[in-house]
Amino acid sequence: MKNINRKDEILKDERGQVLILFSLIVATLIASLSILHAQNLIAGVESSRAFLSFPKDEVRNLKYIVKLDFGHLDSDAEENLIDQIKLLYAAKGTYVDVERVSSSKYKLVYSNTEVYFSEYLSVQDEEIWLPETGGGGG
Amino acid sequence: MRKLFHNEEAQAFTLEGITAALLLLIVTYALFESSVVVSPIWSEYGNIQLKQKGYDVLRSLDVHRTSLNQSACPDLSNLSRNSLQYMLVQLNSSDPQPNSEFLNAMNAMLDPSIKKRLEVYWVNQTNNNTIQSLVLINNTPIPDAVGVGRIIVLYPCEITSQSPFNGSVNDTALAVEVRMILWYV
Repeated sequence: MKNINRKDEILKDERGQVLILFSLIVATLIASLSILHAQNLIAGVESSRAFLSFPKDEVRNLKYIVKLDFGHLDSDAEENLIDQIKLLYAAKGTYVDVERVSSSKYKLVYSNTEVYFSEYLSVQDEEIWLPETGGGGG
Repeated sequence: MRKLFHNEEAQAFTLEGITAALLLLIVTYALFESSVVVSPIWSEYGNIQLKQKGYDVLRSLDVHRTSLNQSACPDLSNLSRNSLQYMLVQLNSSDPQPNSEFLNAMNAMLDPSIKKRLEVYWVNQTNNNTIQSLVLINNTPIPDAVGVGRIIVLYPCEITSQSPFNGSVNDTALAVEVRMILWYV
């Protein structure tokens, strides 16, 4: 009988609950910090990856062709060249199109599983181009 | 001694202490687990510098004709012998080899520790738009190799009868993709 009373006493003892309460507070704090930490890591990895996978050299190459080679070609030859470029890129799993919007304006589209890029190019607008003479020496 | 073993005081403290410790342990474990970013492995991540180098080399070798004299075409005297354009124009279908000036210029820009494979791709419009290819520098790449490409436009008069591109287009410009595969040895 005495033993039963003693157990009852232990179970009803509420003095140690403050330990759990504090540990809950600390646990919540650590959990929220861990979420913040993981989010920062993911954002850093993904943004650098997106930056590196952007096909800036391919896009520049296409702009270069529109600016410098299309000038030597008539509209039929231009269409023909675009079809060839489309096929070459399609073989690599990328959709590329250069559409003539007006006499001096083109719409460039570059799309694959990672990137969708589109830009209007005006042949007269010098600012968007790289050096007019083509650069590269020689 | 007997009294010590039967002393049940502070058992609630112990139990609660263990519960609290377990709780903290679980959360700390969750913290370390969540720090591991599981993202798809991007095979080219490690060699991104080599890839950029490859693009830069192709860009440097793409020496565009500022003036195209159609009547004097193929105007090889007006075309830098280091250029991708010259290298493509001078190709002979019986033994397609890059010219030495081009190879020297390319090798000067790439470190000797970098090995390369050079291929060209183009569309044969007279044969149902099939993509044809030619290997100019034949080395077998390792799985870590990176590939870069650049499209070069050749004009009809530049495609001579000896050229491997001869017959691919009917009197119109030809888009040739020069693809370079690079890897460290």
